[in-house]
Amino acid sequence: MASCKKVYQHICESLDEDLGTPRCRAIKLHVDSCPNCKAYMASLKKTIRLYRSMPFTRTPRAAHTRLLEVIEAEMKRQAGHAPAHRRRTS
Amino acid sequence: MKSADARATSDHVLIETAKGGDRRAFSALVRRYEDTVYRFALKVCQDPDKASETLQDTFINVFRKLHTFDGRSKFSTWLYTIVTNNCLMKQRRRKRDLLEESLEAFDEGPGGDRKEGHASIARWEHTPAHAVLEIELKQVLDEAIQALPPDYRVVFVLRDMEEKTTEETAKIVGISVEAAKSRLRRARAFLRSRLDPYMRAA
Repeated sequence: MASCKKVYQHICESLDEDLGTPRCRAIKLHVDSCPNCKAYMASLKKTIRLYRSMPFTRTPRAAHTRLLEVIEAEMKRQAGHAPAHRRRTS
Repeated sequence: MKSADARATSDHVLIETAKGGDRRAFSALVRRYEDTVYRFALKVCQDPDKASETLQDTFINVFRKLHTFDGRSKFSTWLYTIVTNNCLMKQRRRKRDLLEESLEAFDEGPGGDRKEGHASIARWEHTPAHAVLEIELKQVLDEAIQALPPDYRVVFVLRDMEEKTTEETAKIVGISVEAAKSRLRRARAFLRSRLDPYMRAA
């Protein structure tokens, strides 16, 4: 049977990965019978759920406009350098 | 390439067309991924101005380096690698954001960080998930993730918020899978610890 400390050290695997490994099965067995570990695991899952449920952010209009301006300037800059580059490689 | 065609075209075709110098194809790639990049940068930087700067830096890097993208990994993975590097570079310049506190204590579980005793794990089950919509809780979540050191924050955002696999997260950040798991474990425990006083009071 895993100890509480082992549970915390392998919390990553026991939350969502490698669930079939012997170590994870031992952790699950311990969590099922330990109220503290059960509460800890539930609160960790809740932490992840809360962050995952934060609203989707779109690019603000000002940031979008600035991005297009910067890319346009870069395209012009590269186009301006292209003939010089071709001359060097010919 | 016409704008209407670009919207329905696969990443692969857009990339190859953009490599050939087609500006509309590159612009279509920008429109397709700008929200992804901005959202990720905002989560990591926690600052709209820094996120906007990161958005610009990322697509300038993409424009300059697109010819080096060989298609062996997904375009989105390559893009996340660039935006992650840009985010981390910005974060490392902001010394005030660098937390000196070690997160190794969080391997010990509750009590390891000396703020929560092992015998007093609060139950969070009754807190409604939709409470995330409340402004106060959003502020608590923002402050907690902002307190997380950038190297840990980026792993948590990729794995738990962007829902990348651990392997993909490790590849994007340029660390081993074991290191990604270790940072993720500590980041989750750190955030849980920061949210605990609020959730107990809720």
